[in-house]
Amino acid sequence: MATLEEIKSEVRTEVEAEKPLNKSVDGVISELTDEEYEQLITDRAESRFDVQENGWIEARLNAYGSWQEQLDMQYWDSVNGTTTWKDHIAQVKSDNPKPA
Amino acid sequence: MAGELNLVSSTTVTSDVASVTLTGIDTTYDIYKVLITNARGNNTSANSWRMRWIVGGSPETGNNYFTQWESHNAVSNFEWNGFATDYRYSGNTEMYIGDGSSDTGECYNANINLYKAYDNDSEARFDIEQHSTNSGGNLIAAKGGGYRKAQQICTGVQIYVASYSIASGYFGLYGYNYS
Repeated sequence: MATLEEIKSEVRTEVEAEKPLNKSVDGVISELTDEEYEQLITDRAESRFDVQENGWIEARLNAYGSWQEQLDMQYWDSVNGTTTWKDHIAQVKSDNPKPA
Repeated sequence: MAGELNLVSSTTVTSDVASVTLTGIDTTYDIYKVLITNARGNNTSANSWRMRWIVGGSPETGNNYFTQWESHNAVSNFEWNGFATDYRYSGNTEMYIGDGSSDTGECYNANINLYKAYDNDSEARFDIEQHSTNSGGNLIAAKGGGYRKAQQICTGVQIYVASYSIASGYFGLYGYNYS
């Protein structure tokens, strides 16, 4: 797992390659100032770090499926003696691991 | 005229910009509103939209933003996926204003009301209704609100998409009086 400082270093390199970057202020286009470039690098690095640290939560929520679907799986598991729901949840957790 | 929506500032983005700033909030109107339509980032991974207040002529980047959200997400068969995401952000450096895919044919749209922005004795507040489609092509309809935990005059907003640039979209700041 990359540290925030490591990610910031990567982002800084990417932003250097992207320059010039512009902003729109009330429809007037101009290049970012040095201070605004620094803020942009900080914002992008923190956003990427947040995805690295917490992205697994949203990925799991999206992959679990609705509670109706999960209840349906559990109903048919109880009727058929299968483990579809349990296997599904285990697969979602396995596919979207919590960072160590 | 009371209730009439008056354009204060707007821009239509047609080529990449890192951010869009709309200014002009003052005592003229009771409530200000930001409308964003057909907005997309410059990368298919660009999907998380953010906003900051303009304070003293610059975007406020301190840990002062508090926001809360409910997001109703539809899954592949358009079945309601519950409160798929329930966001609470305390003391953030930016306000989260929703997700929206930048894939072809998809976009981000929002209606944001701004309250008490130009008030030195109150915290600037906002509420928002937002809809979009996520990267899977599924509908996201979300609503939320928040405030800046500091009492200073705010004269505008800065809008951007996390980690990327804004490629297109309409951004407008309007004002209206309720009496």
